[in-house]
Amino acid sequence: MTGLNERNILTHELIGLEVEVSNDTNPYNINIRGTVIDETRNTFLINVNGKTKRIIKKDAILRFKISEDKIVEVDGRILVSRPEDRIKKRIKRGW
Amino acid sequence: MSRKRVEEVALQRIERLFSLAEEVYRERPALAQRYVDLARRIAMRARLSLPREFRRKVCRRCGAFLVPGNSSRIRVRQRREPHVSITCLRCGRVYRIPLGRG
Ligand SMILES: [Zn+2]
Repeated sequence: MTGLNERNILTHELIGLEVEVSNDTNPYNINIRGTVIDETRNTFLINVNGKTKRIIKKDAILRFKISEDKIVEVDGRILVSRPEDRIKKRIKRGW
Repeated sequence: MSRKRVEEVALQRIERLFSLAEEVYRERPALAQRYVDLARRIAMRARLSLPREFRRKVCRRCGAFLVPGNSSRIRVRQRREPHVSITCLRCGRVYRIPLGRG
């Protein structure tokens, strides 16, 4: 039994993780940092100090904190999918 | 991905979502319900039934997240067989859990 790691992150739960937007077509979103509180097919809702920001997956590069000492950077385009549909996604390396 | 891997990840996701649901329920009950809905959908996709510990936290008729004293009512009843009754306060469905004779 292995937990969340860099190999299964595309199929794993992202709600609850700390995340940082490392790049975005909207420059105002770059460096946003917070906790994922919800996910739709095309967006993440991120709680940033009590404020909710919506990030469009296909426009962003995201860094998820998967454990105390591990951060994984993911191109948002490969996360475009409803959260319950990602579970069966085959792993393609996009990073 | 192998069936076993899918199952493993599904169970971990379900656990995380239920624990987040408990965490946010007081402040944001609608978000807690969203997490429970998601957990059930993930179970369905992976063709799993919800693990026992979570099954009794969800109404089987309407899917409500059952929190005793808030979204569900729990009573111990003595009439006929001694049993515990759990009422979903969203849809009114009543579940009976018989108490084994102790
Ligand atoms: Zn109900």
